[in-house]
Amino acid sequence: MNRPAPRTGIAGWLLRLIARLVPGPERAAWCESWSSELVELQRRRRLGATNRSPLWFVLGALPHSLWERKEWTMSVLLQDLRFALRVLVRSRTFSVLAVLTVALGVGASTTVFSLLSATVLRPPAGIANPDRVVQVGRHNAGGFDSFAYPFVRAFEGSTSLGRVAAYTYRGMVVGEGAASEVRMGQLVTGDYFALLGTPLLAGRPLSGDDEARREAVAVISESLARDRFGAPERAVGADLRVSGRPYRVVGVAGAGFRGTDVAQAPADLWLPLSMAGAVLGPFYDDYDRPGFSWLWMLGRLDAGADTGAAQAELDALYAGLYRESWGEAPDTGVAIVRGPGLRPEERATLDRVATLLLGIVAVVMLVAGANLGSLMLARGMARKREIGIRAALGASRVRLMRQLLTESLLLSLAGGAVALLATYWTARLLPRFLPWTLGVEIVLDRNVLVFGLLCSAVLALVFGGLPALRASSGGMLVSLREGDSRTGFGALLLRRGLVVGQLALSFALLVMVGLLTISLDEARRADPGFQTREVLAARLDLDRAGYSPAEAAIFQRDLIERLRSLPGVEEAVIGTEVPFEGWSRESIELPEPLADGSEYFQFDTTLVWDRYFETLGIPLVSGPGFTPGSALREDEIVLSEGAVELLLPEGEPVGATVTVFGGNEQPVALRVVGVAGDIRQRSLRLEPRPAVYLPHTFRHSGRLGLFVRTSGDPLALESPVRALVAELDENLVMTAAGSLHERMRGSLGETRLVSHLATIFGGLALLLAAVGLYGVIGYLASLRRHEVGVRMALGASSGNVLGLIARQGLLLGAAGLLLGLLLALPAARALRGLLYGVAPWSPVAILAAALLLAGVTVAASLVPARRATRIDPALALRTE
Amino acid sequence: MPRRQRRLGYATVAILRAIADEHAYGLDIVEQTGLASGTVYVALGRLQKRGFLRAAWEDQAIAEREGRPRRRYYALTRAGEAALRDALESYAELTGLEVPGGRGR
Repeated sequence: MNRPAPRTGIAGWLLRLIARLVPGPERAAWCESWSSELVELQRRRRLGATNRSPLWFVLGALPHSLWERKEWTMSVLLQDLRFALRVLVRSRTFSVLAVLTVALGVGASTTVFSLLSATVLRPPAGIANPDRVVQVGRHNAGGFDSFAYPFVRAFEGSTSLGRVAAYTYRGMVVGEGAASEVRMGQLVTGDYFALLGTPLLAGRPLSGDDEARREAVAVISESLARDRFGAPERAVGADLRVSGRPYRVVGVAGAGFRGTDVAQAPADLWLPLSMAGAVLGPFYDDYDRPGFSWLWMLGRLDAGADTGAAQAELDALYAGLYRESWGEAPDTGVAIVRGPGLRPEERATLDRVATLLLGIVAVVMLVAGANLGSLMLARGMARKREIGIRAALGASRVRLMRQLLTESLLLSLAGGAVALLATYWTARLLPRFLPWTLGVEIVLDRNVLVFGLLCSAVLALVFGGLPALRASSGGMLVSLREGDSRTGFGALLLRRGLVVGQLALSFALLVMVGLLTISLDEARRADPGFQTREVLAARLDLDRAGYSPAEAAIFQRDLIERLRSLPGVEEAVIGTEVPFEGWSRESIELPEPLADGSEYFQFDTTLVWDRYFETLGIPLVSGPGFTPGSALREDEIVLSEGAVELLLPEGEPVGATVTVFGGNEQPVALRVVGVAGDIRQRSLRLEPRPAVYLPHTFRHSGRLGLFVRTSGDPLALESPVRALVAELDENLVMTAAGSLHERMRGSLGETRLVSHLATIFGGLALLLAAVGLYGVIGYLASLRRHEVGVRMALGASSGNVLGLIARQGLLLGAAGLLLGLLLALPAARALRGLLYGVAPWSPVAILAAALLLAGVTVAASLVPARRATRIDPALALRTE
Repeated sequence: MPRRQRRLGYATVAILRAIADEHAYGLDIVEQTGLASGTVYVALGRLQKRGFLRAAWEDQAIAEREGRPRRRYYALTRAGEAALRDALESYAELTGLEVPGGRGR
């Protein structure tokens, strides 16, 4: 082999150059065989046996060398993978622990991410080219508002929007008698389905003709078709009763289409808008009046058109019709939002909550990652010898590092796979925690899958990479020479740092949990300004059931009388609004313009029946209140204290008059007969708003809230009340029945959601941190066996030893606490808007978190420390 | 379940054929088949991986006696012989010609 290389000229030089591409272990043999061939070729040329060019011949070595490299890389990867698998299977406990750690961190993240994916990242199902669909709204003080019907027609003249459609969502009574139920439905204009491009499973979509001719036809969802008719094909042509009137089913929507709004319950049926009066009651017979804004609008951008052009065009159309109708220019314009699904304010709420939750799960993932890193470091130290031997046998650092990274990647991906499997279920459970209804299903989709794998890969690279870098470093060679424990000092420092980070992050989460728990506790004892305990509340909709105003008035009087005579009922009344559920507003002119120049104010408005204030326990601060009687006088009004400040800032309010616009938009003067205490009607978190109470005789309303007060459990009254309603009218469905108190607590739904998840994840993080701390202290104790042995031999008591070892844990705990205080500040600030009755810097929450952390630190340090005290000094000294 | 046999390409069959005809040295195979050297060497590597060929270094003593670097010789394995036979038979079916040496070796 050590013969001098034959002279082969330029071709030989080229060959040596190409040889560099061949992987090291293969290079010598490769070179020898090629140069042997080259020498032979040159010999034959000299003999005239061939005229093949040596240079050309050698060029063939290039593809050959590249092929060798590819083969080698593949085999090494496979080898790494096989080796990693073998190692991981051999150290089973470690592997299971690491996989579970990663699964916890990644699973938390993918679960929360699945919510974002379903609502924000994924458009509602069954819409063709959703990115060309826009939501059109009225720019209002509140943000994004609905339109009156004439504007929808006016926008049809737009050239940048190819199609325009309008819709509204309403719960509709489907079926009759005992088989009736409330399903979410939509009233839509003729172009609704054409605009969305929704495919149909059977039949045809609704059309402009259906709307123009007021056809009693319906398109229904696949799920309704299966429930009611068994199969989509059988539904087409059949009759479906809606609000007591038959509709012919003309089509069944396909592709999982359940309406366009993510923040509404999934829709099951679609009717022509012109049926509004028949479905929603006579009030909607003239649904097309210009002052009646109730329709949400969609448009589809024409090819080449952009939102800017559409906006300018619609603004002009809007201003034109507004001027025509009201004789003045509008002070608002049109707003356009790209993509269907969420309106801007809904999007903002979701973004706010989801960002917070993602922040929390990111913390859990960091803590889990730190545990993975800690585990890998510990293993790196345990494998010092093995790695040292492999390095001594010629494995390069890159090779060792790649091997270790392959192991952490394998662990991490296995953890990610477990996490994704778990997310398949947790994503389905998530809606139960959500304070909102969602029109979309939360599932494990492709976005979540990619996100989960990405998270696992990043965890592997970041928290597996560092230990791999350390373990593969040249210093490890030392470990072959020294059997002692002083090597790996840097790794230990890194592990301590990871534990401090874990403790700090857990502390921040615990402070958040504390703040949220205090908020919910405060809320339980909160006083909204009226009685919520022992009150059953429910909803009835007479308009939807087809009552005329006269019929409704009789029914309402009967209902109250019968309710009051039910056994166990102390008081019963009806009013139009159910607190914490929704509200109506009434615009009333102010005597003095407000600071922002507005001359009108939108007061929260409730139409009430006799004994409303007594039943709900709203105090009358002054005045006698409404003149008693089963029908109240229609010229009286009660104001809240806040409303008095705005409307009658000077003088005695009782007896004064206030001008309100009546049903036909004519001003009516009402006499103030009482001032009621302020109440928090919308949400516990919101300050009371100025409110007015109007007698039920002032204007007709078929939408009713029903309130029954008892001395016991209000829920016990639900079924007698339901039976009573059914007895009065079997087609009437009572909805949303429940205790008013629960409803009040539900108004903190977002707080509750974040609180639940923060508690779960905070607990997980603390557990992981405790495991990390335990591991490090245990390892430290094992390193100091020798020292402890010497100390004990010299007469140290076990108490001394306990303190010696545990002190290290407590120091780490203290460091974590200090760092955690810094992290808790921004964490608490992120909760603003969710807290109730507690300041973000509440010392109680911080103290409680600190105590919990201290307790866990002590426990996690004492266990390994106690074990250290049981060392037999003689044994410890001998084994060294 | 029978293993799916991948069809051998022309170059591969030509190389197997050359080796079967005792042209078992790289340069000889190149000369015999008229293929480019890159094609031949990559194919030799592949056929070795597939177990159709085995390679062996020439005895150092012989090389020194002849005053040249030692050579790397290739020979068909049993699997390689079978593969070549199958390939030649299928070529024969394709052309309808009797291929000399294609059968009964």
